[in-house]
Amino acid sequence: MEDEFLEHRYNINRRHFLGKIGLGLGSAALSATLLPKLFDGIGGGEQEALAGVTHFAPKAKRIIMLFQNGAPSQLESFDYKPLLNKMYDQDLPESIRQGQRLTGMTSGQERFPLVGSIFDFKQHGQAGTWVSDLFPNIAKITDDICVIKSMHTDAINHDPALTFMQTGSQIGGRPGMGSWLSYGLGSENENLPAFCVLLSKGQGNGQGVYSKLWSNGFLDSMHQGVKFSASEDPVLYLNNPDGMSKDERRIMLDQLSLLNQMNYEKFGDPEIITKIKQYEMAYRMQTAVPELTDMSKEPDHIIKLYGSDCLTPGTYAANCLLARNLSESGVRFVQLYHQGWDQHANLVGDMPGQALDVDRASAALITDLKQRGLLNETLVIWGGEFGRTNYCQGTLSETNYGRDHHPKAYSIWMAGGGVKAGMSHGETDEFGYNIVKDPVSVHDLHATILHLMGLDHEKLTYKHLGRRFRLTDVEGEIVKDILA
Amino acid sequence: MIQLQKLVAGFIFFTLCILTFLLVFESYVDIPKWLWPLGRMHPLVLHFPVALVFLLGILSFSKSKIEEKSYEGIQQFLLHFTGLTASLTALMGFFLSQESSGSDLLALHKWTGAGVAYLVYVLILTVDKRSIYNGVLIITLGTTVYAGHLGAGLTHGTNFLLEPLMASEQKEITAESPIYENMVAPIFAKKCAGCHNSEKHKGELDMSSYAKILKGGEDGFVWEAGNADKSEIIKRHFLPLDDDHHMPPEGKPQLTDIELALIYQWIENGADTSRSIANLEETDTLFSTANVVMNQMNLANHKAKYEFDFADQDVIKGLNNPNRSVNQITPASPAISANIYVRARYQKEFLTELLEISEQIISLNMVNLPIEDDELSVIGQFVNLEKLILNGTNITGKTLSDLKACTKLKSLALSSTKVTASINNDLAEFKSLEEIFIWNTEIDKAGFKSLAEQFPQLEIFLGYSSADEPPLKLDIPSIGDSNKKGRVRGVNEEINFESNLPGTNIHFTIDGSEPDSTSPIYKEPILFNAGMVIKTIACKESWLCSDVKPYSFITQGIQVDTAYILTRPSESYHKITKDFDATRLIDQAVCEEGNLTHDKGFAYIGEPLIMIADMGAKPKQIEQVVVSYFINTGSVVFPPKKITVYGGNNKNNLTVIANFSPTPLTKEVSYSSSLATVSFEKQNFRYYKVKIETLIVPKWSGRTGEVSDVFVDEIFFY
Repeated sequence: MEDEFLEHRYNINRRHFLGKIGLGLGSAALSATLLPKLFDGIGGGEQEALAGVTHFAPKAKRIIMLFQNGAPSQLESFDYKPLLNKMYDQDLPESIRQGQRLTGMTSGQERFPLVGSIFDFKQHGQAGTWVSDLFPNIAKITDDICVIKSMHTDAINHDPALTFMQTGSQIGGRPGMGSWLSYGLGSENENLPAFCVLLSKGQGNGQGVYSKLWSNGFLDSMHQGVKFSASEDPVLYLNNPDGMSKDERRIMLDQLSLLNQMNYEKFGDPEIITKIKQYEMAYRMQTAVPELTDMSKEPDHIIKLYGSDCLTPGTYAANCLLARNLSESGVRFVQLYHQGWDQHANLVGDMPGQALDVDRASAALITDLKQRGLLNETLVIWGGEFGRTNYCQGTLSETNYGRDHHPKAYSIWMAGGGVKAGMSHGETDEFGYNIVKDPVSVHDLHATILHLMGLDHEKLTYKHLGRRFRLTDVEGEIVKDILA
Repeated sequence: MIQLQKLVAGFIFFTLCILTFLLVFESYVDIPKWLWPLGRMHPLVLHFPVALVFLLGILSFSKSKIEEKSYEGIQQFLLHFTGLTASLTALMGFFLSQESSGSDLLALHKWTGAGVAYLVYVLILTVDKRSIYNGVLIITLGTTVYAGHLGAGLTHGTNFLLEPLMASEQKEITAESPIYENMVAPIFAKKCAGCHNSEKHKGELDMSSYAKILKGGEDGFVWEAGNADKSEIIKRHFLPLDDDHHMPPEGKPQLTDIELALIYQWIENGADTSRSIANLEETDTLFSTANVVMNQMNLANHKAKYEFDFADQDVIKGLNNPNRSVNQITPASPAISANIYVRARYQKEFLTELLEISEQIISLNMVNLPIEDDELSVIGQFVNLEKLILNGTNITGKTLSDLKACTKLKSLALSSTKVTASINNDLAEFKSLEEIFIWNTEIDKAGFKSLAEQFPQLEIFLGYSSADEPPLKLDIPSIGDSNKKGRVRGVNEEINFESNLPGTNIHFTIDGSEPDSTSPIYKEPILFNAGMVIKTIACKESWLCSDVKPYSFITQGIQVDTAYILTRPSESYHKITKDFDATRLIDQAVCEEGNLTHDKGFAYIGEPLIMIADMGAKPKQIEQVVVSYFINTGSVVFPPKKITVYGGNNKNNLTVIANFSPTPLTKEVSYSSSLATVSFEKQNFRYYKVKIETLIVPKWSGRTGEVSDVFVDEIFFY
């Protein structure tokens, strides 16, 4: 009898144990359904970004990026280094260079003679920001801008550095910054692309820009940048062909949409839906774009503000004016590229012309946004892909010199939406070679830009090929000091 | 009953297992959308375990007053109910936590909350062992209170509990408030006390309280009451920024203009701590400055707190269309910003439909839309509006008083409209207005001035004016139709000029003299003559005349049938495909003057350019070969060293017929196009070979020994 009781108890315990185990396993199995990434390495469930939803209160709603393509010399623009003038033609000390890799263009040079800016520098504004005489108009707005003198990048040649700056990776194929913002924030004005690209070219030694820089990468192709043409007809083939009326076009698009819809139902390719959307947007652009590209209504003082070349399509000034119009109409990201800043040789001959191209219009854009009450919600970024060496490339003479690529320190400036105005951030050493205070990496810059737009750079992700991608990859610290 | 208890205990165990599992693998967790509402019920359910844990405490305390059997029954029931709600609450809380970004506060709340759920389960297990049970119960009570407090911090802000007690800091500043304590001292606290405090008194100065400031530092007193100019604090502000004695030091936040004015005038007024706006004369400068600061500070204290409710999400969604975007400024804020776009498609309903969310709209942008005066009465119903952009609309300002209900309006943009100076009368209604944009309107200088006098606090944007600046230079005239035609023209072909700025006169000469504003004005196309050079200049009132731009045109050459290049161009300019095509050298098109376009020609470095031209079966007479090239000595693009022309009817056996060496340069030449002419007696050959050699860079350029580049964009035959 006793044994039977014992047996019974064992049984109860065993049942109890198995029951509990069952519960535990059951719960594990259930909760595992919430962890698709744990057991499912490939990851089927694609998380959709909530377009138009910010992670926190944005400081800026829109960005205009004035990209100076080819890398303008920081030593002739914003990073004043009088020591280089004093040490003219003396060799760059190895204690400063510290074995830094050089490009193939100067690594064979026998010596690295230092050369200071041939152009004078002066302090401007209440903040006493140093600006070279090449940029007299930017000098006038220094109290509205924040100069970062401690940018640094990983790449030493144009293509990887440019690609890095624009997409967060040195290798192409990732979405551009504008595409990320379009993905994260959506479009403000559905009559226009959220990401527009404007190109211009100076007379200086130029480097190419390629459409991979405004590619949507792995994001939906509706986030792709739309390049405007540098002609009187900025969006090519936007107008209806001769003999086709607006109504006919509408009917055609409706029918085309039906066909595409049928195709989508058959194949389920999301790109077909994108295509339908793009046709719709192009149709709306037919009305919206002419309003924005018509500069004939600009009052005389605005023309004078930007300079008369703002009426010549395809110039930097014209692109700045167009960028203002696009941004004012809610385009999330307007990307300008101005080519011709690659002064390996003949810096003294080339750089004044390049500066003349961009100085007046860049400053004008800030002034113009300000007088429209838009500067506090628009972030403007001005800068190139890396800096230039403090030593001369090629032959150094009293009247001319050149500078090679320098990734370890360069200057950019930002203005508007949420950025502290009238300040300089970061410092380089007396040789302008290494950063001695507050370095800002490209990832840091991206993190800060996203932060200003109300996005958490660690949360703005897109899953592709089994991993979540970010604009900032796995790095990036927000530069808090420059936040207003 | 026992059965039910077992079931419940099993369920609690089950829930806790899920929770444990999720907590361990949190970084992999991806909560599907359909579970979000469950997470959002956390704030609802959490009140159960909080109350029940307390009830358990009370029960334990009153054990002696309850009959044993009933006590046990109640305890068992309560325990299981508490455990059930606690574990569910924790699980829901976990779901909710995945929605937002992880702050430290949230993490702490998550762990303490989960802790409560586990502790209650421990209570269920230890109910038979009194000593352990009571100990655990006390810990559970403490943890519950703490977790609850943290949770309240998440929803109401961390200082929610003690806020009423600390309210004095954020109280409304009034005219009776002492200026020093409420306005001056906070500036010191913000900009000085970082270095001058009781722990870190730089320069032996402590500015953490009034009494300590009065003691001064190693350089004496901070101020001299009644004499601001002699006060150390003011003097130091005006030292150059890089001076070691400048305060606050370089790199630290500086005093703003208004802060400086306030400190200065307060010292000038006698540095009296009892002084308030109420006991100042209205004419005193301190009176107006302190008023501005007071308004700013009160506004800052109220900022970004909205008392109105969220709008219905479906309503917001419904209001969004391609012509109108309507968004909450953040998901967490009820405030909405609305933009309307595209002038050509505007309809008044776009605005009136927004009345559905009239309470929530704080920002409205209708730039460049055909908004009429009568529509302001609609906007006037958006009572919480803070920012209104009406730039470029059709309004005249007559109905601005329709906006008077928008008392929170801070920013009003009316530029490029027809508003007149009479808006002065209506602006007084907008007590919160901080900035107004009124450039390019009917308001003249006198109007601006009276506006500025009437509203001294208001920041008035008058826009960029070119009046104070030296006049700008116009752009040089350009050749009309340049994309199609360029500089190569046939005799009697029309040449057009144009300027990018409407209303500009183009003056020109064709005799080689320098044109100016008195030269003939270009009115109709000029007919081309061989070798014509037209010098042009653009002039317009209130602008400086452009630079003189000479346009040298090139006469069309005789058409070459086919051409071949025998030497490989340099790849440093552009990629050269295997079978490079010589067409670009004989296509009668050259680069724009002084502007190198890579695909219009070929570059050679060191190696000569050798081209063979086939004039076809019936060759015309040729007496000249002209080579067009580009010069920019700064980037080592020089003229050719020598051009040699060979001729003959057998491609493989051509003889020299002439050569020519351009005059070597003796100084830098930038961005210039040039021609070199090789003349010879008239020939009727079928084939011509042109050899263009590059030179060694001359000594004066400082690049001794380097080989120059030659860039040729066309070879003409005449």
